Amino acid sequence: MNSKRVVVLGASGFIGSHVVSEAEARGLEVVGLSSRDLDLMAPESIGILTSFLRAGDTVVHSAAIAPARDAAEAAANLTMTNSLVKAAEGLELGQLVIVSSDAVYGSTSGVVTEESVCTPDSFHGVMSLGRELACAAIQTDVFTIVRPAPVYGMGDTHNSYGPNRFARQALGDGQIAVFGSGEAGRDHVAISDVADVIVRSITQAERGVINVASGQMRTFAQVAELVSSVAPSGATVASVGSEANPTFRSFDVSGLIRRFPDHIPTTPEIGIAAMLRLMVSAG
Amino acid sequence: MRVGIVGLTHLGVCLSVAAHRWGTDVIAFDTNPQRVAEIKAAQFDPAEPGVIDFLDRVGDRYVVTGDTRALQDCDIVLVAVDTMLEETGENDDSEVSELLRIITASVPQSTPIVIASQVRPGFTRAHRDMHPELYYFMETLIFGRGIERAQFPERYIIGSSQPEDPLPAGLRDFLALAGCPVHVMSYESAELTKLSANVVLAASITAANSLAELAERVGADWRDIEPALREDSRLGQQSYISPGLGIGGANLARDLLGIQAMAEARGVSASFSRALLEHSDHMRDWTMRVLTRLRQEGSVKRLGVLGLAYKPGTISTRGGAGRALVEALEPAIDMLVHDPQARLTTRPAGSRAAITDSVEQVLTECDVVVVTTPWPEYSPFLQRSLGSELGPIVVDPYRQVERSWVKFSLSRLVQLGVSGE
Repeated sequence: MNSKRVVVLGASGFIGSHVVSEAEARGLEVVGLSSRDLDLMAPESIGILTSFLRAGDTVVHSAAIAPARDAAEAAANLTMTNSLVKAAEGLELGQLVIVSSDAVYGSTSGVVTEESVCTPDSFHGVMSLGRELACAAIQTDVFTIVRPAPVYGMGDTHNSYGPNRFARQALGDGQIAVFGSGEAGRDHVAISDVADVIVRSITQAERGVINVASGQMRTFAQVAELVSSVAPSGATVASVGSEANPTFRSFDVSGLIRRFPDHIPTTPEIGIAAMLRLMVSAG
Repeated sequence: MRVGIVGLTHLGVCLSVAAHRWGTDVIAFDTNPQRVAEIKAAQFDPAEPGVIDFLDRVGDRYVVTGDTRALQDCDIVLVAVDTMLEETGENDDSEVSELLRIITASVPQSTPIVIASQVRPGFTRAHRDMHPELYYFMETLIFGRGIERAQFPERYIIGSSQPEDPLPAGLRDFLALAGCPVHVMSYESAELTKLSANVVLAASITAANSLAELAERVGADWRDIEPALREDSRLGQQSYISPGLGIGGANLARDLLGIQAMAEARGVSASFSRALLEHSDHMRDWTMRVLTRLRQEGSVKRLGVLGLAYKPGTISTRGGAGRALVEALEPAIDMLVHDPQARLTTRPAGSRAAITDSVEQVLTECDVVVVTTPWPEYSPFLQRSLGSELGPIVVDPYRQVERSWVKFSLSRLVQLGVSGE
């Protein structure tokens, strides 16, 4: 009786678009809805989505303004999520996958696991946790929360401090700017890994919280060096401002490996180099 | 002197052996007829070296019985059934209550009854109406060294409703047998002392674990640091500073959960116990983290697993690192598995794990080998493999391998607390 259909909300976004292609590549029946098809900010979207959704559907909720930098953007994301919650009332979904963020864990230094306590300290983090909480009200057989580490890859429009911005800078004026000496450390996860894990979580019907990360922390200085070594004309790494209180965030990916033994996280060295080559060949 | 021991699991049996060796008459009591029969036939093994041997040879001054009337003439009765951990982290001490109810009908009012079972603080006071002479006795047994610890305790800690009053003769005489200092305190202090000791030990292990992992990353070697710390008289030779995959031992984790639950229920910060438990989980995954890194580097085509037993000398695989590893990775990687004694049950469909009787085969055919049980018989094979030019990367969480065995590239050995460079 369950529908085999996967409905992706936010299908033209960075993560959503990769989920659509990955799910299609695995032979799943996918329907992608982007903000052009359905504006979840508009109250009338609730009725439209209600008539569209079917019992047993798998819904991937990746519709969001990311990162939410202020209260207005955070509120917009909660409004969009609320539209989904209202639209799904009275319906039993097969699976709901909410694409959230590691920002729910806050930005202090430390090793994160799926059991880590959520202590968000940014609009993006508070909003992400709010989206998760709102979605918990939706009737679904399987409820999956995916929290990726900072994501890099082709199609990323966010231009946040990290691999994508460094790559643009390297391919642009050849000047990569790091804060202080780039000593802060993060786990950077490839978009292909995020899409892979989301689609696997659907085919395996995995429930609960899943952190997606490479399991390997790199400092911003290391990432900048890496980008500069792969960029065709190289790049210079320059320090701007300072990193008053550098933080180090890494992930223990044991839980991820246990759930998906076939998923081998991409190392930053391989993933970032691959992204750069794609960017070069795409011009 | 006649000593009654009630509840014949690990703790009760070890105490009964010690009491017998001190020259007392022992009445060993259990409500389970099957347990009584097994002990009479010397067929009960609480996984403690020496027990079967003792039961096999013991004479008629050691009486095993299921009849409470046999406890009537004892000078002291110890309730020593091992308690189980509940989901909440608290001890299920209902069996202790039940045994007290059963025996108080037979034990004379003037005979001291001593609770040696692990109970939550408050338990003894809550039960003092059941018997006028009720005491708590803190046990400090260690699995594998149970009899020795029971027979040669470093001190006794006794909980009493009137700590300032002299102990009754039966208890005083019993405690004198071991010839160690006796500390008498309130029930609650004695009950909490037991938990406190285990939490301090767990804290020490956790400190070592987190520092050992740091040592790996900064190019240090915990095997140099550990003996140096032991020389520090404030820490001592016996300190719990050998790193491992978690805090180890079910009792320590149990007591941390117990302290956490107790603290939370009484409005005391439980963050410390929680941190220790969280770090223990983190360390349990150490091997998986190493393997993930090696897989990312593309160097795991076939994975060797040496050891399924949860510790050397047993065939039980439950809770064993080897079994956990096989179950987690068998859908993903070709594996070759060996154990000298323990067996792997039939694997599920799609499993890529194969079994072999040859350690040699594991070390020649796999490119990464994890020593999941430090069986002593693996040593010569590992020494030979690491001494030759070609061979697998050896992942050795229990640090069975000596550094000097590695003759060519140190990157072929991955150990907890040791940097690979």
